[in-house]
Amino acid sequence: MVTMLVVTMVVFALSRIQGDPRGVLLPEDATLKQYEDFGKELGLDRPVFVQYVIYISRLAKGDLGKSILQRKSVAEILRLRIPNSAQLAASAFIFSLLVGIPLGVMAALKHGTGWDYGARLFAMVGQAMPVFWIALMLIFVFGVALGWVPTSRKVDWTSYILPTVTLGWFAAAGQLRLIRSSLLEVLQAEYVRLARAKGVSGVLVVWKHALRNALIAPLTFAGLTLAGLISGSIVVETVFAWPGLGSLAFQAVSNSDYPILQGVILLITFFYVLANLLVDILYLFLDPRIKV
Amino acid sequence: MNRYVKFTCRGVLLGFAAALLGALLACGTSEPTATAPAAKQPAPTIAAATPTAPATKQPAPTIAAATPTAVTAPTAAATPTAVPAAPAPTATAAATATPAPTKAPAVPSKPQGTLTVALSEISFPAMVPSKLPVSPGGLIHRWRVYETALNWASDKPELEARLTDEWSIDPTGTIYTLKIRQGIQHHGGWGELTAEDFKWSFEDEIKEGSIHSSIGLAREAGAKVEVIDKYTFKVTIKSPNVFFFETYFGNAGGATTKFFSKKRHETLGEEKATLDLTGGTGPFKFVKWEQGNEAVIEAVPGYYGRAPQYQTVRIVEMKEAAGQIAALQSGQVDVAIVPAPLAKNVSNQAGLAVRGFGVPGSQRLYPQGQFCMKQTLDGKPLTPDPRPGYDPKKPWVGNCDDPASQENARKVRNAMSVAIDRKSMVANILSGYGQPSYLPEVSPPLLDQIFKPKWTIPYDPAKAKALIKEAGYPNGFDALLRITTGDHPLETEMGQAVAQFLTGVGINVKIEVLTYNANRPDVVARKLSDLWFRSGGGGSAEAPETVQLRRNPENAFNPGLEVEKPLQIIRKMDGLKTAAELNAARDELYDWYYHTQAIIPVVLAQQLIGVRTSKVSAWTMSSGAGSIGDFEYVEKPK
Repeated sequence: MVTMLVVTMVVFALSRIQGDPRGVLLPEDATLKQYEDFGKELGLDRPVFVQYVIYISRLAKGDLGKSILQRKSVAEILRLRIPNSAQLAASAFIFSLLVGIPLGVMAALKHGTGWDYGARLFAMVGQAMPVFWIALMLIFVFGVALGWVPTSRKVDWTSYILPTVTLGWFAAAGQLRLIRSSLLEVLQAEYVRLARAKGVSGVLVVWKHALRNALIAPLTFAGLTLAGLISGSIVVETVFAWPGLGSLAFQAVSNSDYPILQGVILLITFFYVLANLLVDILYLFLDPRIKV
Repeated sequence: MNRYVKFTCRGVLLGFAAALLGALLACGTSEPTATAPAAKQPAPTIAAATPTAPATKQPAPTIAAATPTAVTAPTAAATPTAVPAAPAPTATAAATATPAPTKAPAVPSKPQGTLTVALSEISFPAMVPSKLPVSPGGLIHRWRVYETALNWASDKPELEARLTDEWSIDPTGTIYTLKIRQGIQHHGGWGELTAEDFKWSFEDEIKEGSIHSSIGLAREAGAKVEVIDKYTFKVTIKSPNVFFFETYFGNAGGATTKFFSKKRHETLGEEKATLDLTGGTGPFKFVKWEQGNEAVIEAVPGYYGRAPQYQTVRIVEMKEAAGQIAALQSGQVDVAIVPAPLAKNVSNQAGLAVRGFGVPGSQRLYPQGQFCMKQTLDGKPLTPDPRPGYDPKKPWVGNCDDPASQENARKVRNAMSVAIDRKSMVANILSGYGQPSYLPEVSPPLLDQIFKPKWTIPYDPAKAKALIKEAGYPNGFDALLRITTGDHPLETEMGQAVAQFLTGVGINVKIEVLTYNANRPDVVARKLSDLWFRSGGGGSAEAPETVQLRRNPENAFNPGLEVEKPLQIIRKMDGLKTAAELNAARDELYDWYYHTQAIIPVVLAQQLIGVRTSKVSAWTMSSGAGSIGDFEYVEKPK
């Protein structure tokens, strides 16, 4: 709750600093009176503190307000966009796990070999390259040059591929590196050596004994990644013209549509808090030594 | 890559993706959309052949592949033209009722197929005149769902008939009488278009609390609408105003009056009517509008004018220029905006062509802080006085009460102007798709009519340095240059080039890049006294004196120029009755701007679109077009 409250303050302050919706809505020959009247209609003539109190009191009743531009309830607008972002985030998350974990395990097991270097190169590229550049390159190669998938927009299931890879690559790279380093450490532990000495098969040693204990750090990362994939998709959604929360936030910033911007950021914060909570709960199952 | 490998890779890739996404898609939610009810479509009552729909004049299908324009100054008009824009505003023309101008006949073939157009923004629907902000206000008539009384012709800079086919102006130049075509139906079953609809639309757009673009000039002119009969209405203004006619009855800018159905508004109420997609009288109707995603319009059967060749036009939002180009190149869209540097890439691809359209956007430099008025032209004192942004120490501002200081400031502004190599900017930044600009905020077609070679600004850095020295700054001076973004894809590059040219003549320029929206509150508050590079995406055929140069102190927006002289000339222009008088006044106005460089024109940037040649063979947009539209003029290849 404290986090959310602080976030409301920060978001409210920042949204007021970055622009004024009258700049978007009113024409250049608007009179000063028209400008001031419209400001009154939006409540901009009141002190910022009063505006915040009004905002927070409405928020307490579950009212996120109305979009200044669209004149629809923010909750309604968010409700329409959440599924699109959630689908993209989920697919990118699954991609990051399906790619990051096997490659991380492989890199740890084949430590110092070409497989390891290859996996680390994949991770380095994924984490070093700017997302928008990856997006444009993927669009150019797979959308334009090869013509295999749509370049952008949510058209059919194939249109998930490029944004999923773009969004999920960074997360996959992070997973890979964490899994690799954790697993390398765990594989040196005495209980693993004991298991091997007892004749337990290599597959069981790795996937049952070692990996489970190596998952604590990656799990924390995964939880935050999931929330981050939703919030961090602004660039990806903009480049791929994806009608989700990220592109909505971009539009809200461009148009100084405070209520939408506040709504999106509150929602993202909520996702982060929720993801943290879920990760904490999952710890209990992975490591019985952790008690509430 | 051999065929087998390519195919296998594709299969693996798609299969992998399918496994990942299958479950997600199973529960995928398609976004509900605002959808226009299909019912209540009235039977069209006007056929193209009926006597009430004047026939003739097929606009020439003239869109040619855009080629970089010659980097030369506009040529002087051979002979003084009539009133550059609308023929109607002069009392001379008004004395006789204007005969119904010609109209394009309906194209007999049935509209078929879908044209997909990428735009950088699909704004939000606002289907009430007083709720129409600038951008969507432009779209609903540019997309040809709503219509205006008159229309800028596609083949010449003149207004021609649209919803009204007869109009006249009384000899005093203060009463406009317009007659609407009979039998035109509002889409969605809202009945026949009548004079009452115009009266309601106009009064709603200028009422208290309206955010419509037209409010300033209409209130200044004291405009009143009176219904004469079912199809005839009269607009009276308190004194002649040469700009009023084209501003409110033409279709160039956002200020023009779009005809809404009064009945629709009364039936639905303001809130519902704002978001309701029914209505309009144009060749298309809305069927879908998802803000930030896509809008879909469909051809209306039996439209009284030129029938579209495409049944459906799907307008999709793609923020990124690179994304738009990729979608065009891959076949996902048929039309996309093309930034000049990418034009060659697009036109080199088989099946694509690049074409210019509309009015070029004006890129200019405002030397802000020239707040020298203490009262309005009507004698009302200005508050606050002085303006917060008035800083006489700024070299381009000077002390308003000291003629010598003002002369030095003028020299500084002139120095900054001749320091800019406009031709180089056109060639190197705009890839040739533009032309140097020498008159503030004046674009073709008006520019071609009024330009005189004496207004050409040479590139002369030596002269710039000399002027700066003469003005008392032998070591140059510091300046902050703000570049505002959001209007043109190359605005930052153009602003940086201007900064480099100024640096080259001894001005120590610092750059600040911010959005137009973030900058505007300080502009409105008259707080700024820096240099502002202001970009324009597309221009408009509206006379610049109607809005851009009429930024009097009572307006909210003012770029930093409150000086009496240009306003006095424009005020005088308002009441002129002949084209010769207007041209003479324009000479005086632009002589003043040329002499003072109170606004420094930089370049005019041509707007470009890339089109798929298998879908578009010709597309003659209205000569006043500031944005993509006029979809009924898209022609399919034979």
